[in-house]
Amino acid sequence: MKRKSNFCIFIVLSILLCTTHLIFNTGCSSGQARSKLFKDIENSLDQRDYQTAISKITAAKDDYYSARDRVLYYIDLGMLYHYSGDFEKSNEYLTEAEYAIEELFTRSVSRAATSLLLNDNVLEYTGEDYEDIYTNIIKAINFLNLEQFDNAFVEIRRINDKLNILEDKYKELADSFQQSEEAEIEFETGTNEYYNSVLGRYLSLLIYRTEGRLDAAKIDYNSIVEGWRGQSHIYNFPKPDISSHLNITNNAKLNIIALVGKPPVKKPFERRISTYEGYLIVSGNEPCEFVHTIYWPGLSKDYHFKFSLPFMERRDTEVERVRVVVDERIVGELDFLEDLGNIAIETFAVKAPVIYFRSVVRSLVKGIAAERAKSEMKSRTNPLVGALLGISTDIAVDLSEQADTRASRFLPGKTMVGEIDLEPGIYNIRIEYLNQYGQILFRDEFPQKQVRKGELNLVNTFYLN
Amino acid sequence: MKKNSQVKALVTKPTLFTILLLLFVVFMGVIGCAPARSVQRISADETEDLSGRWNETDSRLVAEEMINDVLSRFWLDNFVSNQNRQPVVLVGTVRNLSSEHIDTATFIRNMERELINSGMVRFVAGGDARVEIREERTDQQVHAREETAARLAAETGADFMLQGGIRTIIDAIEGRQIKFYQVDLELVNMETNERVWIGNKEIRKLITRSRTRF
Repeated sequence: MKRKSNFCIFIVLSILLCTTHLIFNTGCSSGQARSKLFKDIENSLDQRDYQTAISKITAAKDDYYSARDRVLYYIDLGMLYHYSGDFEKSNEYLTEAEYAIEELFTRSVSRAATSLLLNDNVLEYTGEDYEDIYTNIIKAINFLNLEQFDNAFVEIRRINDKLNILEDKYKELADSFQQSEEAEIEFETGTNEYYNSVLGRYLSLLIYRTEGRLDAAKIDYNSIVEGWRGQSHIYNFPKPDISSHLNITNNAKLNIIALVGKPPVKKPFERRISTYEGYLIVSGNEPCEFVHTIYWPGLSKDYHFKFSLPFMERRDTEVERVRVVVDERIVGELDFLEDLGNIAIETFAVKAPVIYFRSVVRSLVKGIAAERAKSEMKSRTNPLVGALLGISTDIAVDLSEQADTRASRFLPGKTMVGEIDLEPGIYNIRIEYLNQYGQILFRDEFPQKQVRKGELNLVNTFYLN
Repeated sequence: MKKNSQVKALVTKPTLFTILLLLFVVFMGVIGCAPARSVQRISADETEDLSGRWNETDSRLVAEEMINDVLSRFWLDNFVSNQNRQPVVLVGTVRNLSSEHIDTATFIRNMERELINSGMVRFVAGGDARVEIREERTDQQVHAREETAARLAAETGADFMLQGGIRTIIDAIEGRQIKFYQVDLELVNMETNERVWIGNKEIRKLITRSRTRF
């Protein structure tokens, strides 16, 4: 009798311990302090104070990034170095991120069957596919700035490789989860409709054109056009006219790549589970009305649990237009080429069923186990202690079912591009970011820019608001 | 129903064992494992394929095989019999056309070593090494004693240039990934642009992800 009571207390303490660990060790700091830190870094970036931004991230490594979040640390730091113009350092950290993503995903597949009952928050963050793809995009841009075209091409090919296997990799993960003893229900992953990175193709076009390989550049141009035809849900904004990029003139070409806005975020939305004899119903109201019945043979009725699921949400930018000023003369405007929010939503949808399936199974198994333990505690311990431990268990179970909303913070929301024909020479270039009212939000200056014929004259600019 | 397993027991009548099992699994995930680092010396010839990426062993083996191939073909005998001398070969660019950051300089160095050690061809430096040597030679004209300065315009011109590229194709399904590396090289006559040899070496790497069951 005494042994059983002790065991029940052990259960409650275990859940409490796990939850405490989850709250205090996944970042070790309060949400408010984290928000303040990243707001401070964003402010430093706005002021182009890169060293402060970078030192804040590196100083926060131990307090705000746990070992499980190393992918995020590498991406965040790699992006800050990119913005600072230290392209080699940026590549170094983004490569670390890419290798970590590859390694951790492989590990997550191999551990899938045994980790089905673990909350995503306590698992290592394996990176989202849009983050994985954008490590290559940013590295390709870095290599272009370092004038290492072959290395830039490697990154562009890696994007294509990743897109080719994107759907398969989650099928594999789903299969592994379904090998778990707890996996009573079957499910399928989403289908991937993102198979062609227009921004990747655009970078490729620039390289081929610069190398004088116009046939290859034309193939990339056609793939860009195809992006709007075959992936209209991702490229759901007017297609920029870049046909002039293929024209060879006596002038030099100035190419501008602008990264604007903030990256998408994951927001948690609550789901409720109600059990009935042999089935359960999962329901929720946000982001839209949701009801899903799952048949689960042998299930007992009258259990009610809740959990939360992450949903990808894009963030708008205040930037409406970006114009290019050369020697105090407005010479053109940039066009939107890619919206990372759309890509994030599309690629996240492929793995969303895996997250949903795991959350349902985990909530159900953990919730029922806790309910049983609570009953046992109430019957075998002091009623007051039992009631208090029961309340604590409920809170702990709810907290341990928080959605995993981890995501990198310094990727851009959108990419804009443009090309200006200029006589070879030296120019003062200014990029002006304007809002919908035509007010200038930010001016990015590039004084004394040398523009040469037959070379890739690239201007990188960003405004992340 | 797919399985009539532990979960049914847990959902309907949880036993102490299943609850304990559940907590153990949760704890194992939460606590995690601190990585232990150990260092072990291995032979330089030993093949250690850790990541499945192109590595030094691939570079060395491909270079050896391709140079053996190029030196065993008819162009060499033809040249020697026509010219009464060994051909002079220059290794040009090997472009990385793959989706991996392959150090082509190492591969080129491996090929150069094989060519020189074969004793069947004469070999001249190219690329950055040649630029550096030319700079030094020019410098000698000003700073070295006349009798010791290397002569200008006395380089040995190459008869042939070896050049090519490395490509990859990746295919993946159900936990298995096949990486297919293709190295294409060609030997081109410097005077006539005639391709006297085209070689191709393929490497397939099967990378299997292990799966464990609890």
